[in-house]
Amino acid sequence: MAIMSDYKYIQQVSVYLENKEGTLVNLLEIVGAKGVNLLAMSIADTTDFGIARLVVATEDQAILMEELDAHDMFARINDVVGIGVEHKPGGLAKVLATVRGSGQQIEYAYSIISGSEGQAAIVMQTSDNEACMEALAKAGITLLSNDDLK
Amino acid sequence: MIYQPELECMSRDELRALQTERLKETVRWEYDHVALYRERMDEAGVSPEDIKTFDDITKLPFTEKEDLRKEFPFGLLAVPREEIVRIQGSSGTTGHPIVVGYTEGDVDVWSEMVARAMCAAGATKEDIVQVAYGYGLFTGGLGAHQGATEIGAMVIPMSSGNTQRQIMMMRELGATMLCCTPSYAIYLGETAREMGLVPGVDLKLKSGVFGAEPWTEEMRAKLEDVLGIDAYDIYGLTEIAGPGVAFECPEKHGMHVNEDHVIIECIDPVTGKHQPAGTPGELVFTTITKKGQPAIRYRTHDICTLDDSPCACGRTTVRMGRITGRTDDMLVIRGVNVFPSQIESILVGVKGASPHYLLEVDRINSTDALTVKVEMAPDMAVDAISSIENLRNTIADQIKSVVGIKAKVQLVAPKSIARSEGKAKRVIDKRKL
Ligand SMILES: [Zn+2]
Repeated sequence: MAIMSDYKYIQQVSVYLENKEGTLVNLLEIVGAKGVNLLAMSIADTTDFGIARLVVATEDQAILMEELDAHDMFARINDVVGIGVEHKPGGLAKVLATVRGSGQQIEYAYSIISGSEGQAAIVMQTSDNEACMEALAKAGITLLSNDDLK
Repeated sequence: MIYQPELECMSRDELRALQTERLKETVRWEYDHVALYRERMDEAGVSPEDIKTFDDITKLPFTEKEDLRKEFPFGLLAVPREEIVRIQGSSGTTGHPIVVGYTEGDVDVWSEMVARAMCAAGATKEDIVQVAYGYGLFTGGLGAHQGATEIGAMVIPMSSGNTQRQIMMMRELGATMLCCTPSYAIYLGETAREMGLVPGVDLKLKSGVFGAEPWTEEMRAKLEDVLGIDAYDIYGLTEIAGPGVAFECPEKHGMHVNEDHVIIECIDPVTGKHQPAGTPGELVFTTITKKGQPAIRYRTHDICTLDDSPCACGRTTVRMGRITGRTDDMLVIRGVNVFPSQIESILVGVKGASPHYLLEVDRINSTDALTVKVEMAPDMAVDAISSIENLRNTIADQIKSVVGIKAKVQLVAPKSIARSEGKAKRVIDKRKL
């Protein structure tokens, strides 16, 4: 799902994890062996399978995809909303209120390990990312791309 | 194009008369020269003189693959060993190997059958035919090779494997036709596209003759699309000759059986009686022009339907449909007959799935459990748990409604199920281990 957005957005790599022991370990080894630094990661899990969502620097993305493919792991790049959240009480609440106000539902969200200075950062997939980003931008909330996360 | 119209388009009456004469000769030949046939016929109380009409074939006893195993290697030869110029055989993946001996004349008969198939697929002297079947005991490579040579086409004898090199040669030499298994053809096409080649521009392929494994109309559509060619089906088995026993004409509506060389019967696998036209049954073949190692009423265990209605192409020979299953590969799971081809036809109709799959049967707490591993289509979105669960449930529901059993569906990454370059491995039955 490429957004081709007017706004900054995050590209994440989603990896399908068959419910085989070691797939996650295997994934982390692949990432580590190539010296790719994970900026964020989340695991969604069911009893049968899982999805790992990874955010890496733009220049690492192609390397990561190539390695995953070489190891027969199924991965796709998709575009999600990246938000800088101020490190103060109510920072996240303002973001969530804005998303709700725009009429969008959050499908999942997870936090980013290294935000930019003075900010926490979260990644979000919503029912309509473009509409959501428009509302967030209007509310003066900082939108992030992969390059903002180093 | 029709390679030998005088033989492929004769009237049904003429053909029956020719078959009957040849059947009588073959039965006499076998009775006089092969101990096993003589003993079987004596046991059944039938002598060569009893074969007077075409229908008398039903008096003859059946033969089985097991007979070829027992008589390995030369027990079924009807000529002195020194008359044999070629041995072909099974790949021997399970059990004892089988081999079949060919006289020079038998090789010519086989070549002629394949030449008819190639000609029906448009082959002429001008063509460049890439053979990507394995060469060796397996009849695919040499069979296609001889057929193309018979026509006078130029053969590129690549054998199977080494996909990158196949594609390089295909492009550099300008191959116009391809012969290999359909699954390998799709793989070649996918790989060529990944390499950035555009069929029709970088590749000159126009058609191909594909066999040695069962496939479906959906696979044909995929194959034709990925390589930009016309794909024709071919059928055969080593015990009878090799590929070329039957082949598709441009109508692509069943495979014409080379009835001047073989007699085909369709029987109820349990009773052994002839099935009414249009009813699926087990195919049984009798060779009527071979001398080295003829076969009489050889049971293929392939399940299929025959169609003797006239074909628009002008050939008068009977057509066999696709092989829809094997009497002995048929899985019986919780008392239900399951053919892998049923699963395949489900998968090609489900968006997000690919027709690459593996059936695993196991017995857990004395109950059969079927797991179907299915590769997701490369364009499947893997970001949402719900879309993956929907895909899995859709496949499981369709298996339940079409096949009639509950299966656990496991989705796996594209290209993660091994692609064989010979016969595709579709079933792992752990109950037998
Ligand atoms: Zn026809």
